[in-house]
This record gives sequence, C-alpha cells and structure tokens, in this order.
Amino acid sequence: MAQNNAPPVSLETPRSIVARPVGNETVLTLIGSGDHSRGPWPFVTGISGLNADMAGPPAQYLSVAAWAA
Amino acid sequence: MVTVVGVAYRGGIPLEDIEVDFEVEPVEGPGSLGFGVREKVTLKGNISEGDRVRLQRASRYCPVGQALTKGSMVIEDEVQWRSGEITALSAAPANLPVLEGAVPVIQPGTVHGSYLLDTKEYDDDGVMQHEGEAKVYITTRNLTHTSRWTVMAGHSSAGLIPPPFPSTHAGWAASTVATLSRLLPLGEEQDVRELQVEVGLNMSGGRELSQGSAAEGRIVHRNAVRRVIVPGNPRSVPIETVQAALGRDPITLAYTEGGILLDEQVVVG
Repeated sequence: MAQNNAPPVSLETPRSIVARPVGNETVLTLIGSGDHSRGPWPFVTGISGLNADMAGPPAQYLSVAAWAA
Repeated sequence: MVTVVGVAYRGGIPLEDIEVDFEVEPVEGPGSLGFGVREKVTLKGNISEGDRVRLQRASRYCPVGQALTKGSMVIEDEVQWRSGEITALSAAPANLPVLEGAVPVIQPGTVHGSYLLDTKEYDDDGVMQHEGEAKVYITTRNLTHTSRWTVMAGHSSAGLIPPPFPSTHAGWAASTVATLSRLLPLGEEQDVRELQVEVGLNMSGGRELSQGSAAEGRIVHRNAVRRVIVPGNPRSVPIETVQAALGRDPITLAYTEGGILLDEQVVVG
C-alpha cells in the first residue's frame, strides 16, 4: 500500500461534515456545529463483512438511527 | 421522535411518550444493492384517532424522513482530485462505466429509538425551548454474531449530542466513503486513505420550518453540497468513474430515488 500522505481529518468550515477512511473498512466522520459551544460530534462506522468484527454500525444504520431520533 | 414531540406540543396533543422501531433489510435494486426499512412508531398518551393521523403525518414529513423517502434533498456534487483539479458534477450521462467492485452488503438488523422524557427544556414561562434527546439502539446480524451500538441525537442546549438532520448526512458522507473505497479502481500508487467526503448543509429555517412543514405534510427542499476528494488526478481516476461509483451508493440512491420505506405503522400503544 502506498504511503498515506493525506492530511488529518479536520473541519475546515463551520457546519460541515467530513468523512475519511481510517483503516481497513472503517470510516471516521465528524459533524461540525458551527458553534464552539456545541460539538463537534464524531462517529465511527464500519462496513459489513461476512465474518469480520465491526468498529461501528454500517453507515446506513447511522442515517436510520437519526431518522428514529 | 423530536419532530413529532414538537408538533404534538405546539398542537396541544397530549403525547406522553414515543418509541420508534425500524427493521432494516438489504434490498437489491436495478444494478445496485440498497436497503429497505419497516417502521413502527408507538405513541403513548390519550391520543384520539384524529391526533394519531396528525402525528403520523408529522412522522412522515420530518426532515430526515423527507430526505430519505421523499427526494427533498437538492444535491450539488463536486469532485476534487488530490492533484488539485476540481469540477462540479452535472447530471450523470447514460453511458457511465460499469465498475467491477461491489458495495458492502447491508446486514439485516433493527433500530430502536426511545425518547428521553426528562431532557425536554422549558423557559421560565413554561414554554418548550428544546424538544430533548433520543437514545437509539442499533443491532445488526451477520453470519456469525450480533453487534450492538448506541447512538444519541436530539435538540438540547448542552450541545453534547448532534441534531438528527446532520446525523443523517453524517451517515450519507460515511456511506459515500465506504462505497467509493469499494468501487474506485485505484492503482498501486494511490492510497484509499486519501479519500475524503465533505458535506455542507443549508440549515436555514430551523425548528419552525421543520415542525411547521411536518405538521402540514409539506416537502421542504434542502440544499447540500457534497465534495468528494479522491486520490490521483483526472486521468488516473476519471470523473465518469467517480460518478458511476456515486450512483451506486445506497444513501445517495435513497436521497435521489426514495423507495426505502417498505412498511409504516403509527399506533397508539
């Protein structure tokens, strides 16, 4: 695998969401609030593997969970 | 839940508590793998049939439900290569390349949301200021075991948990990354970890617009800009390849085509 020259995950603008792969099939996502008194809020999602452990729920479940809330 | 709670409060409906359950299952569409959900909303309190119908409408037209089932999102896509070039995506042409990879299979599972009653916030005059928070349990099953997580979302002054609408788009951004990771045919010199997806949201209107439109059963179109940053350059990762991959992302398909709500019940329990 090539060397990882990517910049670190950061929130460059307020009210933005940034998602990056962080190894294997895991994704780190940050929600910025645009307000220093709130957030930011991180989520880790993992990708379904037939036998693999998962770091977090599949990304689609995060959206459905938000729908429930 | 928080939208229904807010609509009930403003409509004088005696909603005492609410729970939401989803069953999630993989659904195979034309040329893509997606997912479907079966929803059950349980209302608690002395709810008349008329009020139940009003709250069912609010549930159907909450901002997140609109995004996932009613095509309310107006999406502007941009692609930026790590080499620096950036371009806006126009409508997908008919002859996009067929990509060999497969998107991750979506495991069956359940999502159970319970409302945290004591997180409602009122001002000194007893007027609701924040609808409060919800705790959501996620359970998925694969061939060998069951996995469980807890997610929280809602509206509260403490700022410790995210609102539901951005959380939905966090799932969209993460889903986009997962899909591109699987489908983009990257070369040896390209690192998948250079992928990044950014979503900018137009949050204008706030609670009044969200709850007002939900109460009326009115679709509100909301803008989002999704910037996809990919390794390489436009020659090594052609724009048509990126566009073909985006077109197979399950959340993107839900936003653009809807159809994920397989069944819906709103009951007084």
